[in-house]
Amino acid sequence: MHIVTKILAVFGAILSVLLAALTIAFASNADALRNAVSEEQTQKLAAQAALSKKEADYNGQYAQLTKASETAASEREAMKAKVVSLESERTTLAAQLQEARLAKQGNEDTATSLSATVKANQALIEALTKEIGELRNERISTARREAELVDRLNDLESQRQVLEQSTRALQEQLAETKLAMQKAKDGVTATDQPYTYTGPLIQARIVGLTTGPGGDEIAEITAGSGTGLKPNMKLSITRGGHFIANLIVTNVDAQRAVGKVDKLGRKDVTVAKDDVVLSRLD
Amino acid sequence: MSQFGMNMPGGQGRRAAPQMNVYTGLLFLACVSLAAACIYVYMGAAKLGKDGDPFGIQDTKGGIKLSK
Repeated sequence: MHIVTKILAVFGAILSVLLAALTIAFASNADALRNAVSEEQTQKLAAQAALSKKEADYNGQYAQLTKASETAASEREAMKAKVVSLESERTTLAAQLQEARLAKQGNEDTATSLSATVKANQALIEALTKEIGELRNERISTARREAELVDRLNDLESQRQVLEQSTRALQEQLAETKLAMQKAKDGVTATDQPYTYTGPLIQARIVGLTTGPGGDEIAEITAGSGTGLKPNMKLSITRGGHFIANLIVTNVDAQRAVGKVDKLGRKDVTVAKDDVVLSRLD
Repeated sequence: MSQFGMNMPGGQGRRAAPQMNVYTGLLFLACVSLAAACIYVYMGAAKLGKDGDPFGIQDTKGGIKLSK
C-alpha cells in the first residue's frame, strides 16, 4: 500500500471522527432548539390568550370609562348650565339686595321724616282737640238754640196751615155763596147745570182720554175733591196758554176727576195728554 | 523479515515498491468530501452551539445561549 494511501486513510478516519462529533453536537443542539422553539410557541400562544383576555378586559373597562366619561361630560355640561343659571340668579339677587338696601335707606329717611311729622301732628292734634272741645260746646249750645227755633218754626207752620185751611174754607163758602147768588140772579133752579168755579185757581193736567158710551170724549185729570173740584164744574183746557176746549166735571174722586170734553162744535180741535186744565182763564 | 535474507523461506525474492492505485484516488476523494462536510457542519454547528462553540451542547433547562 502506498504511503499516500495510508496517509489518506488516516486523514479520512480523523475527518470521519470529527464529522461524527460535529454531527452529534449539531443534532443535539438542533433538538434542543426545536424543543425551545416549541416551548416558546406554547408560551407565545398562552401569552396571546392572556393578552386577548386582557384586551377584552381593557375594552370593557374602556367602554365603561368611555360611558363614565360621557356621563361626566354631560354632568359637566349640566353643571355649566347650572353655574350659568346660578350666576344669573346671583346677579339678580345682588341687584335685589342693592334695591333692598336703597329701600332700607329710603325707609329710614322716611321714618325720620315721619317721626318729625308725628311729633308735629301730635302738637297739631292737641291743639285741634282743644279747639274741637270748644267747638263741640259751641255746637251743643247752637243745636240747643236751633232746636228751640225749629220748635218755634213748627208752631208757626202749624198756625199757618190752620189759617190757610180756614182761608180756603172761607173762600169756598164765598164762592158757593157767589154761585148761589148768581143762580138766584139768573133764576136758574136746576142744580145739574155746568157752572164756572170762581174760587181759587185750580190747576191740573190730563192723564187719560177715553170715549164715552154716547161718543163723547172723556178726560181724566190730576185734581180731585181735595183741591175743591165738584161735579158740573166747567174747566178750561189749554195748551201753550191758548184755550182749546171746556171740560165739564162729571165724577170727582179724592185725587182724580173725570169730565166730558166740550169742543164747542169745533171738529179741528184735539185734546191730548198733558194738556193743562184751569178753573178759569185770567 | 528482510534482515534474514535468503536464509528464510520465501525470502529469496525481493518485492517491488508499492504503487498508488485506484483506492488511493478514492481515499483522496473521500478525504476531500469529508473535509468539505466538516467545514460545512462546523459552520452550522457554530451557529447552534452553546456560546458559538460548535461542540458545545445547549442546556435545555438553563436556557438557549447562541452566539451574538
